[in-house]
Amino acid sequence: MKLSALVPLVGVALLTVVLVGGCAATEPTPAAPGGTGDGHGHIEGATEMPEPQLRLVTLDSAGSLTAFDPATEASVSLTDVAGAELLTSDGRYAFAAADARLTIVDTGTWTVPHGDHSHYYLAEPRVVGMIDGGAGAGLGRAASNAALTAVFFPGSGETVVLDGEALGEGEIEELARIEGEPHEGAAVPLGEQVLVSSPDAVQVYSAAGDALGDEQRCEDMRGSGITSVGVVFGCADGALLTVEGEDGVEFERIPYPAGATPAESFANRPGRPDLAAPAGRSGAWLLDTREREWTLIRTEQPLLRAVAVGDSDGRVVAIDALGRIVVLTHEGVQATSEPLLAADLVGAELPAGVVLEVDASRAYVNSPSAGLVHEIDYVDNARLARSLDVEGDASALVEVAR
Amino acid sequence: MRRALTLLTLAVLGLTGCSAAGVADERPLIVATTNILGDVVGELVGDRAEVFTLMPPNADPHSFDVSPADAARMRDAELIVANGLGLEEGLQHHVEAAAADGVEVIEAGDLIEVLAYAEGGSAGTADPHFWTDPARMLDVVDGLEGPLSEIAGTLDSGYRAELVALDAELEEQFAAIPAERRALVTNHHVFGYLAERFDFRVIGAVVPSGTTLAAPSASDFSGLVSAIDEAGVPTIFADSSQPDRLVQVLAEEADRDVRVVALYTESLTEPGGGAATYLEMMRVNAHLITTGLSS
Repeated sequence: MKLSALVPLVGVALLTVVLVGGCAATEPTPAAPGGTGDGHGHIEGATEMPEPQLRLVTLDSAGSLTAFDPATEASVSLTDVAGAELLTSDGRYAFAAADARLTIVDTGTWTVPHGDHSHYYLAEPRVVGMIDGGAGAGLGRAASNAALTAVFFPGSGETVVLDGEALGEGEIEELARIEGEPHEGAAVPLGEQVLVSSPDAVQVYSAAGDALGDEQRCEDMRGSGITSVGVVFGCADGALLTVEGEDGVEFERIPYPAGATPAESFANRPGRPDLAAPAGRSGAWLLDTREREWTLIRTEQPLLRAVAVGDSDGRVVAIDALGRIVVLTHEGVQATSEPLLAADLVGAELPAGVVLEVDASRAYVNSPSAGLVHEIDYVDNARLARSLDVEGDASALVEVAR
Repeated sequence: MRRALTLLTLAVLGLTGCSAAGVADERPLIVATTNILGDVVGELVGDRAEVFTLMPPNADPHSFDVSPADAARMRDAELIVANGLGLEEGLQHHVEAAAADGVEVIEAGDLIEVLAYAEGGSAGTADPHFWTDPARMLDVVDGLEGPLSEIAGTLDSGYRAELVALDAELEEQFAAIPAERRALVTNHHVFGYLAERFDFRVIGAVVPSGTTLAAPSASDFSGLVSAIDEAGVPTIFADSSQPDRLVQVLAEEADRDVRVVALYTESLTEPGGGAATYLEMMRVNAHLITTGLSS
């Protein structure tokens, strides 16, 4: 039984409240930095839980951010973010972007993989703070690992590097601001470094913002993703895979087959080796970063979203141009749902806020037109398990603690 | 009489696990990392040494960390008793720092015959959960006796006898379970040593989450159901956030009538919490397993 573990932060020298051992008799000694710890990322007051504490975090068009528990169907209001248009997440924090301002909310629920098992934590949600990108910075998006969070503003091309441990304590601690050129790029931490795109390259920076080594060519950089293997950037001629090697960051290229239409955005179930992306009008790209291999899965209808499950069948959950949920494997289309999202289509596209999220057993997609989040059992014939009536109109969605 | 009173005072101080502010504890300090080892070492040395346990009750040994004050205390210890085999990840750097300062460190993992994980993502690597086998705990006690008696003088021989009795008790109880039913369907990853010692099969299973249980179909349970069928047992030993709902859904969706029982795995509880000592933890688990598989 692992219950109610009060766990102090890993490696925080100034955490002088003695919680451990019930022993408060000795005077807390303020010195002796406790080392770097192993990045488990506990926070004071976090409770360890027997299973992932999944939450569907939705943003409505009025800017209200709400966390919905799909196990209990209970909702908790997180905060209001005026003008918020884009919602992203790293699995724990929700990042709500209004123009040039990124609000960071700790959802209070997260999962830490640990070899053959994982740890599941639950704490009180709280607003951590706001990052100001300056005029014209646009809608910021963020990515994290255990040590760092990197925020990228496409309008300015600027990257803001944040200390991950401080975020866990509810503090925003800026480690660096890295200037760049405006483009639809990305900044993604890898180990103690940050990978930052420019319009035609990727450069490694230290957490302090110093450029390390030579930049890596990446023509027409579009889309990025994190897998259990490393960080992927999409380039015109293939994937640029960056992994942590013995001598720091190492780069590998996984070229597209000849004549391919490049991917423009990548999505996956967190912690898995696969990424997926719509492949023009042809179907879905499946990128296995363990095997360093692209697979094109053809579909009759073009796909608008594609998310890799990363299971042994190479499953991909997708949304097609008719608004149907489609489940694919290497063998092709396995199951198709009713056109659940038909009313959300604008022409042949879905609004950017419509997001498909996949966890170990279910997929979720928000339908702003209905104010619902649909729950799909993707291993059972794309069965619609539930349609969840979340607060507000569900104009954007992220799932945390997978 | 006077001597008895002194001993009683010391015993009370020893129970709190730390000395009150201002009252200097003159006894030698032994630090134990996990609360299981803290309990065992405390039983062995009695009140002749101060045993300070780093891991609080109901915590996770893989991931708890200590305050800077406790880290400093580790360096003042005569001896640190750790589990090792990679169990105390969050603590490893503190143990290494104390060892570099000259503190003697004994790892239980060095005193036993180590098993590898049989399955899962860590298959083939060392399994640190040795305590589920009382015979291995006896090996650890045997290895600790010399170093502990150098620090604390004569040890309490009664505790070793209690461990021997525990081992015999478990053997007798488990022997009463028919061999074909000696199977643990579980999502815990800690019972490898118990299984090896007492001839159980461990059949790992993924337990459907609360989200899955809300609107399930048979495909959500196929792995668990095949584990139950393979084991042929009426009880599974799993942590579930909603055990009653799991039982209900298994009956409705998969037509399997099983009980779901949680065992104590990696941490002792507070006093009164069900597994406050190593002996209590082992006895309670053995009782739950025996009754679960017998009826």
